[in-house]
Amino acid sequence: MKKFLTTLCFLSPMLFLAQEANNAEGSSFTAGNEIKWDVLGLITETKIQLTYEHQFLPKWSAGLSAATYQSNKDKDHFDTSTDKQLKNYDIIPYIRYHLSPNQNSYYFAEGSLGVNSGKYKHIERLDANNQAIYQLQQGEYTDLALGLAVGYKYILKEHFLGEILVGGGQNILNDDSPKYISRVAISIGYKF
Amino acid sequence: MKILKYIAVLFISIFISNCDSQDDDFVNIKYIEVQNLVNLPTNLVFNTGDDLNFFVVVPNVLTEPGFTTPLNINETTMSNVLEFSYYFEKKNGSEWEYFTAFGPVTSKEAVLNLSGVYVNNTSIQLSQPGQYRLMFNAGTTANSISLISKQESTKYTQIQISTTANNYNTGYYFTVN
Repeated sequence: MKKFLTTLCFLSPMLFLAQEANNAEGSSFTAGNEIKWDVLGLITETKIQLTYEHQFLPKWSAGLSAATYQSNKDKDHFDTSTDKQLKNYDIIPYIRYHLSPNQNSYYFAEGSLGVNSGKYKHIERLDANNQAIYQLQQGEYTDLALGLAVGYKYILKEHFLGEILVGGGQNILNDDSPKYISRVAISIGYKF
Repeated sequence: MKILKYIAVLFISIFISNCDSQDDDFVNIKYIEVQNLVNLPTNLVFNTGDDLNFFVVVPNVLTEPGFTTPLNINETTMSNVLEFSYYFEKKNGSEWEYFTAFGPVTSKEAVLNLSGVYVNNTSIQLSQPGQYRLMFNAGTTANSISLISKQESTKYTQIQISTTANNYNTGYYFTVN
């Protein structure tokens, strides 16, 4: 979490500078929909993440990201390593406020409340034949994470877009889930 | 300048994406507390040349406080060995000094025998007079002794038993005349 806050502090001056730079530009608002695909997640975590976003006001948009983690290497590693959790999927509804007036190139701040799920390890006392053993077991966790992020979006020729998103969240319900989760993506998409 | 900004954001993104990989490592170890698994001598005074004998005796099927069913150590750990270590200190004036004449820090094994008991019998000849204390690796408190199952693979749970012994209070204090 410290890393996340440090990064937010580092990025915030850039955001305000960008806002100042873009104030003069301005542009007209067109409500629209976007579909995006996270390229960075695929490369770094074998994560397949698709996002739908709808811009409903000049400075506001809302969306839904769904991600599934498909790395066989991570799954095999989880069984034999000291890793505590293995992510399975995320579903993240979010809302964004645009920090720049330019509709084709802008920074934004995001708040989210997402569901995430996966596997975790624990040691359990198992009884059999009037004796007990302690054995490593795997369980499933599901949790709700409150998140914050900032990002930058660039739209090319009205339809094609690129987006960088950096942020994180904290799980609030379950002790077996990871305490903090990242929300990081470099996405490409289509606006229609 | 703009390109530098994008590169900075890219690196920060990759950095943060790894933040949530794990909160802590999961260690496949179970800690339990069972009293009186180490037997120290009842006497506290010896003569030079005497042997100091102590025994580690741990039933494989061990009654664990708080549970109705006993714990099977071997089926939990898949190990035939419980490890422990000890060392001696000698009193010099008011100070305790590390003492190696009876042997340096020594790792020992209590091995599971055919009767289903982890056993170690240790005998140490006391070759010099003085005031000494025998120290074991501590368990959960300074007054306890740690016995740890030898872990061949992380897929098997390791057991760390914190136990006690008679006459052991942060050490076994004795005199050799």
